[in-house]
This record gives sequence, structure tokens and C-alpha cells, in this order.
Amino acid sequence: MRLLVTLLLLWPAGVLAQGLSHPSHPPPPGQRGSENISVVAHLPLGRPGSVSDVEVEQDPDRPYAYVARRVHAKGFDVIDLSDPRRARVIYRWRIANEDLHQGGAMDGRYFKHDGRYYYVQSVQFRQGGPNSDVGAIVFDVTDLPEAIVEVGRIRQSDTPGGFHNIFTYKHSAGAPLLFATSGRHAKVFDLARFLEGYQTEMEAALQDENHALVGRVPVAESENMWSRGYHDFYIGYHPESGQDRFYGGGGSGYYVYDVSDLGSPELLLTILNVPGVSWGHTFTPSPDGRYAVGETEFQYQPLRFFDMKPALDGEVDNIDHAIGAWHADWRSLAHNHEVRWPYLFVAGYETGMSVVNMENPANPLTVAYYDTFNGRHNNREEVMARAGSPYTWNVYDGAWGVDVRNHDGLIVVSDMSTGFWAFRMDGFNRWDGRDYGMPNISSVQNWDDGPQANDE
Amino acid sequence: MKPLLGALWLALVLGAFQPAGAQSSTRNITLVGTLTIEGGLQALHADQDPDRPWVYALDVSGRLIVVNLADPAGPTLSYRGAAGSARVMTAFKEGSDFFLVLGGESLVTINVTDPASPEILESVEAGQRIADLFAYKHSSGNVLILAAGSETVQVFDAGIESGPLQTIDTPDHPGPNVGFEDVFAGFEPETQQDRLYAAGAGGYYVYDITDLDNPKLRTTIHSAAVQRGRVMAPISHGGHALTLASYRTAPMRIFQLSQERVRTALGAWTDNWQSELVDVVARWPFAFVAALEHGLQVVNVYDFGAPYTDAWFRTSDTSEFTSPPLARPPQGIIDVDVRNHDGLILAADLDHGLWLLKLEAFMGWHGHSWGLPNMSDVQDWDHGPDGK
Repeated sequence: MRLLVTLLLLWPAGVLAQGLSHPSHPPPPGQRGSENISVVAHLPLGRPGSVSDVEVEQDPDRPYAYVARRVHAKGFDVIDLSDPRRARVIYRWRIANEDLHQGGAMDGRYFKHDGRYYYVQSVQFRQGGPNSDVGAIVFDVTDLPEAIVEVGRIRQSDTPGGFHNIFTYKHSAGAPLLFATSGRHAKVFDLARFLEGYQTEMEAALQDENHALVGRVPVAESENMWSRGYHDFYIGYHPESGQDRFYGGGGSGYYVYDVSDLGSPELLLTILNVPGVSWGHTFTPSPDGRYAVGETEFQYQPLRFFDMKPALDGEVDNIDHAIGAWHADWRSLAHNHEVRWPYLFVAGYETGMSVVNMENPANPLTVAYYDTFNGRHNNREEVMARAGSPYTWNVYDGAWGVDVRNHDGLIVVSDMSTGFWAFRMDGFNRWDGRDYGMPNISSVQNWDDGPQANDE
Repeated sequence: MKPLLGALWLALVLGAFQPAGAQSSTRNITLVGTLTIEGGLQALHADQDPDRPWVYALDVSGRLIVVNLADPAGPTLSYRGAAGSARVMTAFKEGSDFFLVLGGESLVTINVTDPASPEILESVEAGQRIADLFAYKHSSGNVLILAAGSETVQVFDAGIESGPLQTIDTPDHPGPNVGFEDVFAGFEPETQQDRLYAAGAGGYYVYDITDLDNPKLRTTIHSAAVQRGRVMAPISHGGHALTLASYRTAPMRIFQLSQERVRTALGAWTDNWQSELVDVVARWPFAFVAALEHGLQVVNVYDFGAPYTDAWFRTSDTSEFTSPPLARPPQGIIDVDVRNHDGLILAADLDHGLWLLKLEAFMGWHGHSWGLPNMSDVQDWDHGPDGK
């Protein structure tokens, strides 16, 4: 009998070691999510295909999330999460003369400076309509829920078309920075300097649009490059070296730079010539900077996991292979993601939201999921009609963005067609890297004290 | 009752942990015969002549092996001998004689009219690493040997010692790779063109080689996720191609060849997204896929947009593997061939040797039976291509 009990105990453990399998799509009745995921809130936000990225504020006293709107509606929605189960839209900002604008809002990030809170909304407006020189619009959101105030617009008229992605970062030197995709670089803007500029009497149109531009991170040259710019990036402090590190996806793969000195970024390593990777989309390191997750936004491509140690140790300049890979559904592809070691939170387009355990990056496992997408998979005609683009071929719909609130573990997702979602995962009630033996480094910034103070 | 329930649970639990047998398959696959080859096989080529029950193969050391299939249930080794450092092979017939061409760092022609005593006729340095060979009966009546190499596709006539008749360089493409991994040729009756299909740096390419002096690039497939094509196998009407890419996790992608430049796959298939698919043979509506540790897979591609698994045969239990998928060394089925006159499926196993299989209701293949040109990798050496 003891043997039987032992075997029965071992059996589920063995099953769990394989990870969960996502159900087929559409999911069987009642099986849209795994048992360890609870839906906290769902807010449809409008016409299918109109939603892009999501950002959640991290201050426990500021229960706000922002959802960018890119098609049909052009701006962003502010969601009040004071009572997450009664989440509600409290503000809808739309650009003036919405119909004249060709394009929409993409990525949104907040930052805090001198005791005030700001939200930066990246936009991409094409030439042929107004504001094609605008990359991002900065709002003072300190007085939410009562009011938000547009502070100013970051323009780059030499590289029109806006910023596809942005990242706000508290540099170890103290400045709040905005990294933005623009032309062949990730351009770096000092947000404190930007705000100072807009506190003068000078009209915005007369101000030097580069007055806050303090750095440019290039894409390292390689042979026969797929593209010349960045798609996306993450910037994180590396406690062991004391460096501010830039992790960029674009060009022909992935690039890591030391950006401690913004005037002269130093290339640390590249991840190029990886079979199946001709271009990098999103690239996020583990808190200690050893491993990284890379995405290429092409159908049938898994998320890949890289061990950067051989390059960081100087044994090689380039990493040319992944050590692990993960898929929710091989017919689809993962889009944006957030690392909260050992978990990886994935917005997987048509597969919705997934949580992956990447503690063993060579063998990542699905540990939770929720399917936020309603439509059929791989339906090219339907996607064309709804999203207006065959981009990524026929899987360009569903969960676009994901964010995680560190102080309480709330997971928020923006789905292009079904809107805003908030989830909780059993046993995940907060995240602090130190709880997992890692530096307390994630996309969440310590705006008051800087990254060096994260582990104090 | 309790002891009975306990025994039932024990049986269930033990059953869950019990390793599966060495081989397993779907119900519609029959294992006809097998031959263990010490060290395993890396390539094979079935003789398609109904009167010649032979299969030629290369073991992992590059030695030539000839197996007699007169009794498919009891295949016997007829010959095993050194053949240079060959990795790939093809076969052709000229007059009443039968020949093999082996490729590696060099090209070797062997007369196998008497398969029990093959005779090496000539050997030439290829000047590049040969990744694939294909013997083709051109509409002009000439026998051509196509060699996909690390630099170019070389086109020889049957006498390879005189050097290539034509050389095709890697077309312009995004990415730093050069060279080719696979080559295939077929005649398209509708256009009366001989077409060459190649996989390699940048993706996949289709050339018109009717006039061998002036090959014309007709179609380029540069798919974003394929820096290097591994295999390109056209469907017999020439309008679609099955393709494999040279990395684990890549599915078999199916492309329509109607445009000069193609980016997007019409459909895709994999049995397991962590698989590495290394070879495919098309006999529409079936595709026979060598999937290493995931065995031989038979895919129904009747609907190019929605291919599905029709049958499989595995030689190992993948659930027993302990190494992570991306770190797994190649093992299992690496090459596949199909004998058209009787539908015998031949699979080369890196670990075991030769497997001979039958698929239920697949008694042979002729394109006309499916309303298509009779075009496959099997040539009509005596009469030339179908539809000419």
C-alpha cells in the first residue's frame, strides 16, 4: 500500500513536469483558462482590432492602467483598478482631428519625476496626415482620476513616422530616460530635460526638438542585414557589473549594449545567425542578465531562450543558437512578454495570455494560460478585414501586450479585439527578484532611488 | 473491493511509466521488413525498376550498401563496401545499365547493373561539399546529374569527369549564407518546361532549365523565418512545393509557386513543433516526411492550406528522452523513399538501419491516377518525362 501511495504521489508530479498544454482553439466549453488563473476583470474597449499595448502603474497608491488605441480610435484609455473586480474606464484621450491621422497609438510607458507621474504614449502617424513627426506624447497624470494634462510632444522630424516602441528607464546616473525606436537607432531622451523645456514660455513649435536627445544606440552592422533599426528593447541595470544594459531586438537579431555612458554605447554581444531568426522583435533578459528571451514576429516561430554567458564571459562575440524554445500553439506566435523570473508572461496574439516557467531555460514549461481571443485561428481573410493587415500573415490578432504589477502580482493584458483583461495566478501574489535569489530587476523602475537601490 | 481498486490503480500507474516498445505506429502502417545495419544509415535510394528489387544506401561511415528486397519481409545484405566519404546519392539508367552517383567531397559514379558487385567507374573532386544529388531525365533526352553544394548547384551530364555543363550561383537574398542543400528537377507539361527546384541560402528557388545554357530564375521564396532552405519537393503539377527549413522547430511549409516572389506559406504542418524535419518525398496527396526521433510521418496534403497527419511510424519513444529538445543529437529516421510501382516505403534510420513499410490503401503511385502529371523524383529513363 505504501508503494501505491508513493506512486500515486509521483504520478501527478511527473505529469506537471511536462507543463500544461494549451487547449485546441476554440477551447472546449469551460476550458478557456487553466485552473490556476482567475479572471479579475474584462473590459471590451470597442471595435475589434483597435487595441494595442498596455501599461500598469506600479505604485500601490496609483491603481491605473493605460491601454493604447491604434485603429478606429487613436489615443489611449485609462482604467481605474481601485477595485480590480470593478475595473472601469475613467478617461479616453483621443488625438484631435482623429480621422485625419493615418496610424495610431502603440506603446505606452509611465514614469515619475520630482514627485509627479507622467504617461508617455508612443504614436505612429504616417506622412499624408498630421503629426507624422510626433513620436510620443507626454501627459501629466498625477491628478488622476480627476484630470490628465498633455505636457508636450516629442518630435523627430528627421525620422518621421513616430516611435513604434518606447521604454522608460531610471538610469544609474539618475536621469529618467525614454528610449524610442526611431530611424536606425534607439534614441534616448532625457525626460527631465524634456519637461524642463516645456516649462518655459517658448512655444513648443519653436523649441529645439532635440533638446532632450541625449543618446543614440546603433544597430551593430552585420552582413546583408534584414533591417536597419530596432523593433523593441528593454533596458535593465546589471548589479554585478554596475552597468546599465540595453537589450534590443531588430536588425538581424538581438543586441546587447552597455549604455552606462549614453554618449558612447558599447556593444557587449550580438545574437545573430540563429537558425529561424532573421530579425529580432522583443528581447528581454533574466534579472541577472544571463539568459534572455527572444521573439521574432513571424508565424510558426517559437519564443527562443538564449544563454548569453559565453559572450558575456568573452569566450565568443556572438551567440548563434538558442538553448530552449517555447510555443503555445505552433500555428501562431507569441508577441510581447514580461519576465518575472522564473515566470515569463506572454501576450501570444491568438493564443491569448500564457505564463511560462523558464527556470530551466532549456526546457521552458507552460504553467498557466487564458485564451483572450475569440476569433478563429489562421483566418487570413477575417484578420485582413478586421485588422487591415496581413502582417505576421494570418495570426495578427488577439493578445498584444502584457504587464505585471509587482506589488500584488496583478497581470494585465491588452487584446487587439477583446480589450482589457486583468488576471491573477494562484500563488503569485507579488514579485521581488530577491524572493527567487535574483537581483530585483524587471521592467519596473525605482523612480525615486534608482536601480542601485533595488536590492537594498 | 479495496484490493481490486488498488491493483487497478497500480496497473494504471505502472502502465503510465512503462516504456513503450522500440517501434510504434498508427494502425494504418504495416512494418513489412527491417534490416539492422551496424552503425545505422544516413541515406538511401530505392531502385524503381520493378525487375530490380534493390535499395542502395550509405551507412554513417559513407560506405555503400546494397540490400536485396526480393522478399521485402526478409531483406538481405548483398553488398557493403567503401565508397569514399559519401553522404548523398542518386541513381540513373542509361541504355540497359544502371548507375549510382555518390556525393561528398567528391563525386563517384558506380555501375550497379550487377548490384552484388558494384564497379566504380570514375571519381572527381566536386570543389565544394555536396549536400544533395538528383538524377534527371531532361526533356532533351539527356541524363543530367544535379549536385547541390556548399557554393552552387552544378549540372553534369552522365559523364561527370568532363565537369559541369552549367553552374547556378546562390541568388541574391537577405542574410549571409551561400550555397544549397537540396535540388530536384521535374518537367511541367503545361509550360513544356524543365524546372529545377533548389533549397538553400535565403530559401527556395525555381529555375526554368529547358535551355540548360540559359537557366531562368522563375520563382524566389524568401520567407522571413527561413534563412536556409533544407528541402524543396514540388507537387507533381508544379504549382506548389513542400519545403523544409534547416532548423529544429520549423514546420513543413507549403508554398504556392504562381508568383515570381513568394513570402507567405499557404499552409504548414508538423507532428510536434519541437521536431526536426529533415526530408520529404511528395506523392500527392501524400507527403512522406523523415522526422528524426519522431520517425516517419505520412502527411495528407490534399488541402494545401490544411495538411494533416495521416500515419506515422516511430522507432523510439520520445517521452523517454531526457535531453532538452534543442540539445538533442540527430537520431531516428533521416531519409525516406517511396517505390512507385508498389508503394513500398523505405526509411533510413541513423541508429538501426533500414525499415520497409506499407501504408494502408497506398498500393503505388502514378500521377495520372490522381489527375496529375506523372512527375515525381522517379524518372522514366527509357521514354523521358511525362507530357513531353
